[in-house]
Amino acid sequence: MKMRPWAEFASTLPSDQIDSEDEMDILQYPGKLLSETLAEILKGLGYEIIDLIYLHERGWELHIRGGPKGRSAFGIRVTQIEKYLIVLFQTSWFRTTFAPRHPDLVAVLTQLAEAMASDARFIDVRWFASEDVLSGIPGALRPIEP
Amino acid sequence: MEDTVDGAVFGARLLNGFDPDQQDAAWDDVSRVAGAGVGFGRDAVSDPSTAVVRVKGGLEGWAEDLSVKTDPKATPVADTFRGEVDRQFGIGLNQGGLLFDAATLPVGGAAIKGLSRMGKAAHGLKTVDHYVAKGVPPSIAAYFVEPYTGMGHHYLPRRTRLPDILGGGPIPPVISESPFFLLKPEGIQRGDMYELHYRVDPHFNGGKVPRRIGNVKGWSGKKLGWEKEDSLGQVWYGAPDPLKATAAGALGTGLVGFGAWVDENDGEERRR
Repeated sequence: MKMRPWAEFASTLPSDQIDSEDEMDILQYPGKLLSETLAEILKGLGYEIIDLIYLHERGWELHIRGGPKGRSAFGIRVTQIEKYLIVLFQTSWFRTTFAPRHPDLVAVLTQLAEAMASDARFIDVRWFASEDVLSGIPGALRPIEP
Repeated sequence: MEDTVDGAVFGARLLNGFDPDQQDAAWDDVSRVAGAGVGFGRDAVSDPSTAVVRVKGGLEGWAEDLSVKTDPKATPVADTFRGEVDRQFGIGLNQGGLLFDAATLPVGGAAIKGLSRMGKAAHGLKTVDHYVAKGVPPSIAAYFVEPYTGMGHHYLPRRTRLPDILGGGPIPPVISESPFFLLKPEGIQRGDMYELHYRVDPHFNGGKVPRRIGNVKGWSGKKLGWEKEDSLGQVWYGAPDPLKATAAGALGTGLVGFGAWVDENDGEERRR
């Protein structure tokens, strides 16, 4: 099974980057609005929204919990370079190390990809494996390949 | 003292980290701290001369600063191994700081909080030409050589919560923003800080630039040729030096303490 946890896409959402008045610096990096939109989608899919954290130049990080037992914890990092770039990951070190393809991670990736594909706010969503993201190779339409 | 308190609070969190609600975060932190100790070993292997200087400097420091706080032999060895671990833990934290102070004597006796200044001294400032030579557009290169103004690199993930026994909630800024857990070398340039973020944060690949930069909207570490660290490298290079020193000190003292406890009990056996 090939897993592609990174997604790159454009969006109809307005830019929420806030520059200083003289445009010398970025006061707030973009991604808050997109993170909130993803939170709304994931909440609709039955996931609990834990929090949304601002990481300055590293973007925004949404934390959710869910899965069959409701205990699997995930993070979604949202940044923007030219297009938006997100990555969905397990926040548990144990799972990241010993179960990198945990069924709950596969499930949430699949659900999120399907929801984004049918949502007009997301344009040309392409999924990438960690080693392929931003490498210039074309992404895939789905995050999971059996 | 504040540094020791920071270390002790972190230690308390580790010892109480098996609260079911905090299990994931505790695993995160335990792995990171264990990794820091391992990282010190890796450093010693990769540059033994530095390690020798540090150990030598540390021993000299101990000789000058023997006290109950830092000398395992100044207080009686505990009756049980568990008791000895508890006794050595606090001593280890103190010795970690002491070892680090001593080890930095050759560069001017930098105190733990002076690490950022030491980092600056050891770090050459890059020029626009440096980046342009690597294929970076001049406008981005000029942006990269500006002083970094962001929040720095937080060693404890900002999602980390305290265990309930310590009140729950986010890690207080007095800990998360302390020199032990916040990596923000004084005077570092944007490009260097972004590269550091890129190397040690597996979920960070690049970012936007201010609109004044013009038609270039952002940068990608991969396109700049930067490389990601492996898990061990993320732990090591993402950790502020005071944390590395303290973790190494605590680990080393734990081993010394174990040896002392074995020796003491072995002696008891022989005396019987």
